[in-house]
Amino acid sequence: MTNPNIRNLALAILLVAPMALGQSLSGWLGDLPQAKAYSLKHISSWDRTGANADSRPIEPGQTLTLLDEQGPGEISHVWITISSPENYHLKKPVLRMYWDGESEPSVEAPIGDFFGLGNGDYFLYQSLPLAVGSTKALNSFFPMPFSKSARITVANEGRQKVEDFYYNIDMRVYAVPLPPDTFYFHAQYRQCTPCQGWTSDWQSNGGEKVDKKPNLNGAGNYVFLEATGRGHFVGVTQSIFQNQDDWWGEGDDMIFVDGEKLPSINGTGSEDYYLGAWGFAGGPVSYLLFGNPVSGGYVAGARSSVYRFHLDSPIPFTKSIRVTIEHGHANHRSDNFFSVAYWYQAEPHAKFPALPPADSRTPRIYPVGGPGNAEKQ
Amino acid sequence: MRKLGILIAILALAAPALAQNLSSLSGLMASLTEPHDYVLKRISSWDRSGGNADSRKIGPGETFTVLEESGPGAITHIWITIASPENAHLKKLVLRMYWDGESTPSVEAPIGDFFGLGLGDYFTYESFPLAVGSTKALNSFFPMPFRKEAKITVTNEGKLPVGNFYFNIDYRAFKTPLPADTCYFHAQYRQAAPNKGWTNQWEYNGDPLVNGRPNLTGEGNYVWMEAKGRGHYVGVTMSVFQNQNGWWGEGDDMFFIDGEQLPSISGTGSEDYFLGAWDFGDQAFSYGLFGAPVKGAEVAGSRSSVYHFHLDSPIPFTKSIRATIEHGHANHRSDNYFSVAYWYQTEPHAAFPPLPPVDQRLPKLYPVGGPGNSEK
Repeated sequence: MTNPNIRNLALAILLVAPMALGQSLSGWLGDLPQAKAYSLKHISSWDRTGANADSRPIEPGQTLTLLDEQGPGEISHVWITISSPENYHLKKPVLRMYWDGESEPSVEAPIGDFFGLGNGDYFLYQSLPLAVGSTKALNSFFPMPFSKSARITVANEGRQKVEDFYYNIDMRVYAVPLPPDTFYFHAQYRQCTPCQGWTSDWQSNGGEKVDKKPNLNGAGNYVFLEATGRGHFVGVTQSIFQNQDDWWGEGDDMIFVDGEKLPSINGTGSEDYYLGAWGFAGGPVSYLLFGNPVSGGYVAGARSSVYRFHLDSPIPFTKSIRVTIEHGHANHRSDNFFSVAYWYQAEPHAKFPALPPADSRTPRIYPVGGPGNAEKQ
Repeated sequence: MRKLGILIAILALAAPALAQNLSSLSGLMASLTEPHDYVLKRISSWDRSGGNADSRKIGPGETFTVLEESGPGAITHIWITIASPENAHLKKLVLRMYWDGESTPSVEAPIGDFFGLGLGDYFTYESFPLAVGSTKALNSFFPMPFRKEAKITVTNEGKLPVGNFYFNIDYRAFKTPLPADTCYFHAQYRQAAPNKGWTNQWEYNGDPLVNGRPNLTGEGNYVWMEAKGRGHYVGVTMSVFQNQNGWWGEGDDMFFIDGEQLPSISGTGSEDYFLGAWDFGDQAFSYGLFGAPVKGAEVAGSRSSVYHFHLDSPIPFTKSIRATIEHGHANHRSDNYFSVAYWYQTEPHAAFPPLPPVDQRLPKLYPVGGPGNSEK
């Protein structure tokens, strides 16, 4: 008991332990009566002269560093809003996050996709970890801890200047190191434009030729995420731009944990994975853990955006994970998919696939044939 | 110093170890940065041939076993959707859950009622533990731990086959035993069709005949659940089909804990118990902890569905609990109630009341007299 700081820490832990074990609506409300051991630091684009120029411009080709802080700490909230004359500026600026001085980012995604806006357009929705407020207000509440340092950048890969990039980021500055087994936040962007169906010679989703085709090993599936190490998968936001008529979501989710050849986690359909049913025929909903905030029609050219967060039970892996979904039953359809997968893991993370060039990230119709789509003449 | 260090380590570890063992809404976000030691398993109706026939059929009279798994584990999410040509199939299929090989189920309810759809019709709403997505997508996030075994069945008490019964259930398979005092999930269906009012000689709810009547003991109240043992009550979903005119919800909630003769928890009105006020206005709403996703007009023939989850403070009991609500002030009204109460307790649970036969579960209007209703 020679060190008063340690004694005080022990007392503090003793006092708060029963509270930490208690049932509460979420860690947030239940933890409120606990004294906080961190200091809150706010990283913002506010005008340091005290005037009202509270944003930053980002030139074409420029990388703006939003945050560059020493740890131990934990980012608990990110808010961003953007004013840009460029079409599809949600797809062109790229958000990256680096933890503890790593050379390859743990987060890499077009900025709109990161916040669940995968088709380049803004819409409003609320989930527990991500929300888009009124209007064009991009919010993340994913906890993002770091031991030594955190760096967040935005690279403008567009042709025009982002006139006003506003941001407010809250982080907890800790006086003591993070627990040694703390996982780090990761997010990975993927797309297929188009997903290549195994046939364009089909009339309807439910045709026998399609429905009877087996797919047990996930060959040709769209991949949300591949990771190696120890961690857990916590969810995905996905946007779809249909090249073909009919319902896009006959594809099943298949999740391969720790090197499985056949997936131990198999689902029954895309809207089922996103916890809706029957083609989301009841229209759009945005719930805390799942939703279909944009629900297009069942025709070529329709746009949809969906999400699912496994906060009820994140899916653990000890060596590796591959999270996939079919595009149409057994991958018969050729729509365009854009997705960001979110997970936590111990570093180092596996190499991400190369980010597709800015131009190829913007949603377009492709001549894939099949219902509602003419192949190239 | 060294002992203190060990103490700190134990205390620091204890909270996350317990928190991760059992899923709950608690710390959904906070636990993301901590390792999890469970294996996530999915029990699903997916087509084992790799084709697209991802559902199961359930014939009339058939009991289909949805899940039968060994523990220790905890179910954290259930998703179900149903295609059936049968009217009111939400009232005719019966969901049952058995923990650790028990002979009588800890959960027994018509499948729609379990998910808050008590009148046989689908509607879309979101609460924290239960949600119905777009479209007809039934979701539960109640944590359901089990030590030795979990079994979930669905019995088709209808006359037609269920063409497609789809399900995806996620559970955590644990490597170590559950904490010794873990409480098990329970859900009990009840109905009163109709509730028997003590009079039908009233003209309006505020009638002096009605308002002067005392009810301190809860005699004649509608009972949501009765349980014995140690546990905590966490809430109720209820649907009302009105036989009479006027606001159905003048009745107060009354909770009897551990054998009380008079309730230690007494409320002020039904919409107040469901955390709205003034008859819910004319506005349906769905919140995380409470809601009235269906709000009918205040006339005979109207339908309403409401819910309240006590996740802020579940109501503990150490010996027994009786959760009740009046039907009208001092039980003067004769509407139809259908409810599912949700609670956690250590086993064994008390016997459930017999499930009413399928035909009696269907919402019907009854000739009870009173405003808007003609007696036989």
